[in-house]
Amino acid sequence: MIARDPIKLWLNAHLSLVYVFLYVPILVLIVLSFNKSGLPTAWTGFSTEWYGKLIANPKILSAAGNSVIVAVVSTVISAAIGTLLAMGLEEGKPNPWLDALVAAPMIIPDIVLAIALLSFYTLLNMNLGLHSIVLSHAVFNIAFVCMVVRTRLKNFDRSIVEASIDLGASEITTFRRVTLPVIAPGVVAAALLSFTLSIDEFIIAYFTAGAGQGSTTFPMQIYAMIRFGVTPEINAIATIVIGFSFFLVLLSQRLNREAAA
Amino acid sequence: MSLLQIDAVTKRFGPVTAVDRISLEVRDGEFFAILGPSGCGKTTLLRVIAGFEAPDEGRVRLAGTDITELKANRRPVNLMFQSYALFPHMTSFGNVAYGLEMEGLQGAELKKRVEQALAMVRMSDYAARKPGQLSGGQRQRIALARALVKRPKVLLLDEPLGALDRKLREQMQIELKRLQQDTGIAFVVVTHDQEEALTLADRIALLDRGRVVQLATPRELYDKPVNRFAADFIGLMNFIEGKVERSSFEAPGLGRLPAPNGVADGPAALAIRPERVRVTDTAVGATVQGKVEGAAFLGQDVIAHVAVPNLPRPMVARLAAGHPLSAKLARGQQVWLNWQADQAVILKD
Repeated sequence: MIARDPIKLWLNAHLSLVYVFLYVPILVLIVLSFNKSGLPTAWTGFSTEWYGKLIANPKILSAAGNSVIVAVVSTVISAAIGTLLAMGLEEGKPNPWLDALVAAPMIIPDIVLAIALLSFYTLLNMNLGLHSIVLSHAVFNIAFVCMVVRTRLKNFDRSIVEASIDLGASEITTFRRVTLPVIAPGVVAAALLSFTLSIDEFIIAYFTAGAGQGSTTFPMQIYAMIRFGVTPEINAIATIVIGFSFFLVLLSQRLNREAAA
Repeated sequence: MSLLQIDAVTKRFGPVTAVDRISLEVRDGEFFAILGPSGCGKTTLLRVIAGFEAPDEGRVRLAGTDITELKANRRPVNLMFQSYALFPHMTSFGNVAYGLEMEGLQGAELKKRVEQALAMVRMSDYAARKPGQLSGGQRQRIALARALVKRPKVLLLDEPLGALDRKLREQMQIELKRLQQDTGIAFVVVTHDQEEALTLADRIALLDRGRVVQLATPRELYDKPVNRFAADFIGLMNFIEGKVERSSFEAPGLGRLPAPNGVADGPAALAIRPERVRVTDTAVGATVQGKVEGAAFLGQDVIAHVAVPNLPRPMVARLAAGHPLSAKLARGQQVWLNWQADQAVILKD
């Protein structure tokens, strides 16, 4: 056998440990979601019983439905506004102040944003509900969309816009047929990111949801359930969410890679 | 007949005057070149004609109609961009069809026109490819077809050969000339490459610092430059500083030199092309004596550098490779240079 570089060996060991640290708890959770016994202490056999119970729970279903509505609507809003914002910022003169202001919602702690939004809605005498969560999520999602789309616009050849106009197209036609299709992979990647951020967002939703089951989102429902202990049902929910998030992350990375190519 | 008229156009960017009261005319079916070093205003002038920049002063007329206020997408003028600016998400066919679709063309007529245009640039086999799957030369052909398919009154080309390697350039030069003659469309090419302008154009406007220095045929521009800038920018040129006295040219230390008559007295420079300089190894009717500094064999001809006393820089002479002296020129050898008076040019500024 060839003697291996000891530094490489150490690095590989380190890498493995990092992955163990990151993923073992998640693996445990996934395994437990298929445990026949409701207790996390012992494995008593494979079962999909908890997934069945989950589907039969109307509260969980309605909360999941709410979360999807919030995520879809806030994603659509922020994809549209964020993309236009990115185009405007890339077109104009570089201004570090404007850039900082746009990026701020990504950096401000969620709890601060949550309190700020709640006070603002109260000041406006606004009724709270799903719509207020949608708006709140749009606030930070616009920032994320803008950031992702701007990286796409950085290597966008502006002369194709002029070429389109030179060939007789109006500004609107040019946007619809040239600019948007070319930056589309970036916009879709940004939308996927904002969807993922929105669907599992808890603090801001919790503060701006108001009262009642009607505006309870999925993370809020899990939080409510967990107060009575971690049930195997929750493990099952978490496993589904993990699978879904993984899928979205992979999709978004793939789109970004294609966009860069 | 005059097709495109640029009438005293000025364009400023802040304190910089990019285009300074330029007037010129492009004729019907002409291959016109706007030539100049970078920063001379040629690209700005091109963008004014295309409609991407509004001039601060002056008018642009096309076939008698004032188009100064007309937006770029309404002008019967098309531009081939330096970077080609093909739409990366569309096929070659889609790229060429785009401009026609904007005119409302569709169906069989659209298909026919696009196919004709692709055939014209010999790209019919690549209709289904996207720009990313084409080579630089192929992309340029698609860009050409895309601009020509709209049958513009004037086709503008921004540094059309700049991005191509030498072999492809020569091929494309011939191709452009052929396309221009076949279509009869007036081509206006903007370039910093004098060789490109000389080979392609019927007439050339030489620009410097936002102004037209000389507007002439390639031959006139080469043989009769109006000033030092024009003489220096086009090809190789020998300059001898001196003065004109009683209509004959004299250089300090060299005496009277052969030069054309009819120039007013005063300080001036004599300019003579290297290929007009005759080299002899005996003093037969010779005017200037010097020593060979070096000779370079270039295939068809030999370039000789000859150090002449009282001249700051060696004179350059170009000999045909078949010239009896060309193979014998050795460093340090005594030679005599002369030229015909009417082949030199006297420049006052």
